[in-house]
Amino acid sequence: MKRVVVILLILLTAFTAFARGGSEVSATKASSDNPFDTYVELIMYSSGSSGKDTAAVLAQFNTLLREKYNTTINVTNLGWDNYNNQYQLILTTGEPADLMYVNPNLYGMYAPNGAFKDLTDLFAQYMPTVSSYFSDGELAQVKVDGRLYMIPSYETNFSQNGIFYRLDLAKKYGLGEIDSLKAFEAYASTIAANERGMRVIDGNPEQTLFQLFKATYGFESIAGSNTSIIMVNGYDDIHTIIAYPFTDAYVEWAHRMKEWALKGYWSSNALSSTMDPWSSIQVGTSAITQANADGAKNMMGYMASKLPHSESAYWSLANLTGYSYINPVTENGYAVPASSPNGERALRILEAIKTDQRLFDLWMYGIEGRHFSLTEEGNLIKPALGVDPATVNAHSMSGAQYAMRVQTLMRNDEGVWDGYDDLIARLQSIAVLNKFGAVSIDYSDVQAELAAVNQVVKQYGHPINIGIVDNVDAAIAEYRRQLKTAGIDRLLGAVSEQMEQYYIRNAIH
Amino acid sequence: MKTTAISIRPDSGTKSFTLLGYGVMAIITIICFVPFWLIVAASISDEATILREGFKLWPRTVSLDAYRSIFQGSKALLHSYLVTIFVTSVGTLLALLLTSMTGYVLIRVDFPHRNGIAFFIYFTTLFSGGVIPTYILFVKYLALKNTVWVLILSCLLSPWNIFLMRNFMKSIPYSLVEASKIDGANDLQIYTAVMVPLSKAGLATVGLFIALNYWNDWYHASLYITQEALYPLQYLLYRMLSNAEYMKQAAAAGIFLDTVSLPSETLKMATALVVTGPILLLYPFVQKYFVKGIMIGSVKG
Amino acid sequence: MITPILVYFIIFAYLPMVGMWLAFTKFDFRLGFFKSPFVGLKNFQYLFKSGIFSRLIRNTVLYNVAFLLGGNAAQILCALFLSDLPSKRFVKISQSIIFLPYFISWVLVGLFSYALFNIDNGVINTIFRSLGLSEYNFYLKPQAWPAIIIAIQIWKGLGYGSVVYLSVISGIDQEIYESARIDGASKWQQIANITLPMIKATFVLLVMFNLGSILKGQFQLFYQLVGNNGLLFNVTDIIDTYVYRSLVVNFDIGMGSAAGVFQSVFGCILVLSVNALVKRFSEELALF
Repeated sequence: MKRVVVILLILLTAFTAFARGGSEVSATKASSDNPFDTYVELIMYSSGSSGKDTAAVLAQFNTLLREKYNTTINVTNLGWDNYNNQYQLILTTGEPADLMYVNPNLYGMYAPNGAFKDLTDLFAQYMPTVSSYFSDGELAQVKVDGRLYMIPSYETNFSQNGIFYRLDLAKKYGLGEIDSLKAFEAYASTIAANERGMRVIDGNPEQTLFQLFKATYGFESIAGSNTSIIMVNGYDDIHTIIAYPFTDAYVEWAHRMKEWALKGYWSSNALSSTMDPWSSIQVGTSAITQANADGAKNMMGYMASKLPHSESAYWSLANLTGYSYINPVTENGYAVPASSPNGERALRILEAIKTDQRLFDLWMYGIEGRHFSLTEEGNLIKPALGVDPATVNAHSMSGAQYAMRVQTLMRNDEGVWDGYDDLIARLQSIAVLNKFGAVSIDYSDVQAELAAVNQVVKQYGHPINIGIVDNVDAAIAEYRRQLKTAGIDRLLGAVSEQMEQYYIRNAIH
Repeated sequence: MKTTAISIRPDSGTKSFTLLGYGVMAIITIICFVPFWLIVAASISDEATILREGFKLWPRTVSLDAYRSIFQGSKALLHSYLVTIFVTSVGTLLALLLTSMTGYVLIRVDFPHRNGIAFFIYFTTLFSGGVIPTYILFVKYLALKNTVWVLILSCLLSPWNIFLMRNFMKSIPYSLVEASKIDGANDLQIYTAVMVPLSKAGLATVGLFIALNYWNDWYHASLYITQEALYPLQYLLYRMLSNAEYMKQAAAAGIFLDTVSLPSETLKMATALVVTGPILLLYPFVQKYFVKGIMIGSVKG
Repeated sequence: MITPILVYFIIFAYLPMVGMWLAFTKFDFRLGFFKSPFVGLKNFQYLFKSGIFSRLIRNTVLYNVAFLLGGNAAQILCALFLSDLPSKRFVKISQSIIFLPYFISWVLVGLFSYALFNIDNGVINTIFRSLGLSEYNFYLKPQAWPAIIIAIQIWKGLGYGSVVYLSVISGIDQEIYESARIDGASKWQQIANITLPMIKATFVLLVMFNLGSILKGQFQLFYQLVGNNGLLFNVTDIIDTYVYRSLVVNFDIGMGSAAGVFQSVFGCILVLSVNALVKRFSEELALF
């Protein structure tokens, strides 16, 4: 035993001696006259998978990029399953990497801990055109303690959810389109009572119901994560930060959920169901699913091919709240890891791609004449006209593409759904500033509480949320008690405090 | 088989044992077989039917979509088979050699530190440093990222297999070791001439476990392999599955650009079979070492 | 002869153990591995925050003990039968088939068990209804789950585990059986007096290996079967699933490592004491 300890100690010291100390942030090289003098291969990591044709597209893209800027990009898609894992490994070990796709989750996890290079000054210096697109307010959304660690994408899209549902079934029972919670309830009850082999939601309804809940009472989520139970009381009541299980609204809602569950909107086993609501509506076992505007558009296409005799419609939850949000600029972006030796080049190349339609088209849509053709207005037809669709493989790089989006160069698809333009126009007309979309809360002082609370929500909250507990009031009382034990008050305090600072910093009233 | 040569009339105890044995084993076999059959049936079903009606013992509609999407990139699949076969065979041979040698050393009573070393090896099952330090080691100091060696090295030795081996070798009469020593055999000769032939069943078992471990390992590939050409089979299929799963959800969330529809439930089933197939072929070769009395001849000889 | 093995374990097992240090730090990418600030036991706090930690330990330990005992009993039984049934053909086929569940991924096991137990069209409830019995809503009632989970774990490990015992039994000298038979010992007596004592060492080995990881659990088994169904957690929650739920939204390197360190220390103490105890009774059976 003693010897083992000695060996361990020796090993420990040995490892210490050669383990990496602080990360060496290399200074950007003094630029000569031509910043593209030397050839550089940029290493990019992204979440998601690549399409079968992506290698071919990238080859063409890199030839062009090399001609123009003496640079190539080596993209590695880390898959959907374990990019989180890989990011952690790459960033902790300081492996060579120049650009990494980030979403709010990844950004919130790594930016405050120093994993990314500080781009606050470099952005305007090396990306003058793109940086000029952003207002100070928009950039402030992405800053952590006043410093910028990512190059956000630049686009307008609406993240707000809605209910995508089978209109043909409504018509079958003489019901109209859904335009209120009451109409929704009527629709759902009719389906549950009359349609055999179908549920309103086949699969776990938790997420959909949560969206409905928020929209019904006007609660606003903060800090990225939807499952977080801490919310803002209302769009105009920004200083009241609540934990919703402690509200009267929640009690009322929980009773309603119990009622819905008893009516058979979903299975009492739904929490364990492995069916996902997106698939189940496509095979005809669900009547509704949730989707945002773009998701609804995709869904329309799927439904037309999977259930050709059905008819679908979409009810945006913006109808309940009366306003809509444009996605915050934090949604997607590129970060430069602190250990990157080519930070300057990486930014220059991003500027190049985001301002050059040809490079941009290749990156985003693939090869013209193969993956897409253009209409006269410059809209996309996919795949290209005159090409047998069966012979065209997909080009996609997921995260690496989301982060590249820039509205000035983006193209629209030739329409699949007539209602889409109207919907967007309507959402646009009621769009308001997204006050809470860009907060990033630093949980480091309340890590233990956060972890404990998150687990309580899953254990005690979810069964109430989908109405499968026997006694709603008793269950809520127990839920609240468990939350208290887990430290909800400290957590709430920490969030409230940081929200106040955030409001002041960003001049939000 | 020597036992069959001696005929003793079965007593009632043997009869009841045999009867009970057939009964119990038949039931267990069925319980183990049905789910596997469901997988086979589901893998050749139509995706929508599975989602709508659940699993059926007999598929009503037959569709080979799932297999089609697996074999679509057949070059990648072939490649990954080669990687897996290489890793499994080289790794298993190497691991079996080292494991059996360790087992042998650990049973030699004349080896003074055997208990210390046994503890030294066992201790590694209790504590592990987690992924990050191991990753740093493999990637930064050994520069093995994106090589097959990282796959071989990370599963090479397992304390469990070493101890299992030791356990098998313990059951070999130690007098044989001593006898050979008196005959003038050195340690290595005793190992090759006495221990290896006498522990065939043990070697077969441990070898099977090592091979299964290599064959099934997708986890290390997910950490260390980012080049598609080096994906082992399991990881290739694992990625295929998780991507299909994700695309389905992403499409509804409006963030996916291409409208691809992939079978995902049936794909799960089909991959399960594609992965299992070859290793099942190996099993009968190992099985023959588990026959009762296999040792008897060799000990006598 | 043993040097390469020792080198292997030093490099690939002992060196990385420095990673346990992470459990006591707040990791900062700028500062790296050894310079991140030391925070003492702070990373362990969340484990105890909810006040259900003792229940988690109880569940984890009980499940592991049940897996160990139940699993081995079933495996030994199978091995006994398979090594002695006269029809070699039957044995071969049966032996191959009971190995199949080992290859079925936990995801699929989860799918199947939902198909079996759900209230709407699950196989069991369909049978209940056709027999005129009242249905049983498994996913709302925790009572049945320990049995289900244990049964599934035994089922899945049966083939793999029985191979170990089969090969041990095949190594037993047949002459011992023959002389026993001549002495008039029945089949059952032979099993009790010859076979079982011969496989004792293997069983003890298995026990010792499992004790070390008694606080670790088959995460996939629990996660795929129970998922996020909070109603069942009282009896189905183990440390690993709890840690997963706590950290899935907001992963923290230090807190993740902390749980592992806790499990390891507990297992280590347990194994050391049990090994000392075993050594008292039999030098042969002790691990080290």
